[in-house]
Amino acid sequence: MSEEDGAAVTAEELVKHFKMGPATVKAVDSVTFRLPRRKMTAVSGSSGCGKTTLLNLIGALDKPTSGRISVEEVDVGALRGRQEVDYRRHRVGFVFQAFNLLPQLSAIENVTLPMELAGRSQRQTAASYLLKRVGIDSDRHRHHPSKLSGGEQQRVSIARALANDPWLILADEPTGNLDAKTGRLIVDLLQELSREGRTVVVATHDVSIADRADMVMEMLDGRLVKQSES
Amino acid sequence: MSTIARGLRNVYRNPLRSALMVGVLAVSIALSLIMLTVNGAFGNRLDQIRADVGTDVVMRPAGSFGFEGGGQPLQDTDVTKVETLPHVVGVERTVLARYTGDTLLSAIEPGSLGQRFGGGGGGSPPGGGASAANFRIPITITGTDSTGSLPVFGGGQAQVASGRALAEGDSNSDVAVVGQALADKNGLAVGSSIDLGAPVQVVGIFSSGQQFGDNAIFMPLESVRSLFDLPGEVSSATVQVDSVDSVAGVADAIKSTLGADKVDVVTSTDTFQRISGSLVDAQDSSRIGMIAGFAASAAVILFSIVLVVRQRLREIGVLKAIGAANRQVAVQFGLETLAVSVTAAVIAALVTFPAAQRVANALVSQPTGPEGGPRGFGVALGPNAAGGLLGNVDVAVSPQVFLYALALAVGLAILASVVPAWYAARVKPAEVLRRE
Repeated sequence: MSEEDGAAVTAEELVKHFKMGPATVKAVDSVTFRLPRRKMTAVSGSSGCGKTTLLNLIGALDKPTSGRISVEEVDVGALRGRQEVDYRRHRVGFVFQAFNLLPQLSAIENVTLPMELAGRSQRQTAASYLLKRVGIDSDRHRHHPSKLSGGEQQRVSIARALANDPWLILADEPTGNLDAKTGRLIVDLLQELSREGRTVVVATHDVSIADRADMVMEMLDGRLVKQSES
Repeated sequence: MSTIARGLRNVYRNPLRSALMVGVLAVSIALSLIMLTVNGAFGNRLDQIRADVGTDVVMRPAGSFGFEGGGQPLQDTDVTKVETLPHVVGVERTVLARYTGDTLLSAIEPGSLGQRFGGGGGGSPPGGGASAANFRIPITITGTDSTGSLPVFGGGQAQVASGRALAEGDSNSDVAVVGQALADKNGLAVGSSIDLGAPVQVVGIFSSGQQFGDNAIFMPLESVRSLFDLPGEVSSATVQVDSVDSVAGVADAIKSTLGADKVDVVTSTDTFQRISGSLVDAQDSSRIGMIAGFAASAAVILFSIVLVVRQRLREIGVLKAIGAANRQVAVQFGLETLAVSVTAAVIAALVTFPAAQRVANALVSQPTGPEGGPRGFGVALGPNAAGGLLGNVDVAVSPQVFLYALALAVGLAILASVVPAWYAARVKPAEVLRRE
């Protein structure tokens, strides 16, 4: 990692435990790392190794049990209330494996929703641009998710993640529900975003996706076992 | 798309579920509105009855009723004592006499009933002088110091058909207001003179609408006392009390002042309670129904919203993940709730129009009892009279019911919005997205 790029995300002794009945599951166990800015980082590992939990901690969707997670010098774990909402609105965009589009809204409405929540104006124009940018034709903008293919839904999901122009994109198994060809196109899109200057973190168990990342963090049973740059 | 539009659109996302929610909620809101409307109508009717019954206390000699019974007559001195009691604003005295002489013919033929009750073997002839063979139905002569009113023995008021009623200046004059049937029988008209031991001038003809009531004469109190030698005697007195709340107290005070063994007292409160008993019961039932309706509406909407929100925890998680504040989530669900409750309330208000009168009729049972119950002077006393005064409860549903419905809908929506607000505050996006 070069000095000029610096670290976008840093974790120090990050721990996240879950209570599962009488047992305690160590989803993230004393993890320390630094992720570079404007690069695509893959968090790889088998299912249940803690990838999603790590992304949730970075995206302020969850709180660490202990340790510290900082994004651009902001202690994400300490965010509360308005600051936490602003962080999710403006700093980070999520892409989920299951897309998580709202089924009652059309493609373009799903994209305008984060803008509306943030109080932005000229939402239709911006959303239309983003949908075209991720490869959704204009005639599909008014379609509801149920009328779109999996690949199209994931593209809409990426457009929604970009709605408020965040510099950090967190993608959790973004190709998990897609065929190989469509999955490659989605990864192309994520790579393009990192080349534009956004920091992209992708959780995946697919080695072919990890191979295309600028940096790979390999996890096993909640621990970071390997960190390498390509 | 605005939060409002999104909230409203979500209502129609699952039409069957929404229709069920609206339907059940409409039933419970309709129950509330119907009971609210009926309760108000019952209250108005009770007020009317209270006004009709008035604040009078009727007192009469203990053990007597009209020409029946016995005991000692009341005297002016007794009335004077009553007039000084607190809350008494006036007393109208009445003295009764019977005329069985030859100069006036009774308007009623004795018939077999008259012979049985008064002229046959069942009792001595009224007036004391007539034999059974010559028995006539006596003419009732009422002396009163009341002006304007013509209380008919047996209940109700007679109306002046021609001439005038008794007036202030008649107090010691030998003038009379004669029943229509009696006037017709004897060829009397306004200005005629009748002989009641002294000449008495007819100044008015009244009609009571009944033969018995028309076989009577009204005269000033002192004139009757003088003609029939009843000095200072009072057959009954109507005591006017300043308010309904004081009636019972005045009645007790009369009895304690004159002695319970000397005076019988009938209050309008007694009458009101007898008449309005079933209506008060119905009003209580409608109040309970109204509260039950409110409670059911609140329970229905809370239960429904809990189910809806729990089904959509993932949506809440997604909304929060993409930057929705708790308030924004709560507002969206709150608007959905408002749309459901307003729709249900409008339906409920429409249902109230045809249903309220039927429910009121079902709740009110007319008092029943033997025909021809006893009556007082101007105050109906018996169960039959109670039924007449109770009458029908007219439930006029006004368009104002839509305002009540709207207020109820907004209130329920505000109440129910606690649910999504609570969930929005508690839901952790990572948990619900991982779990679902």
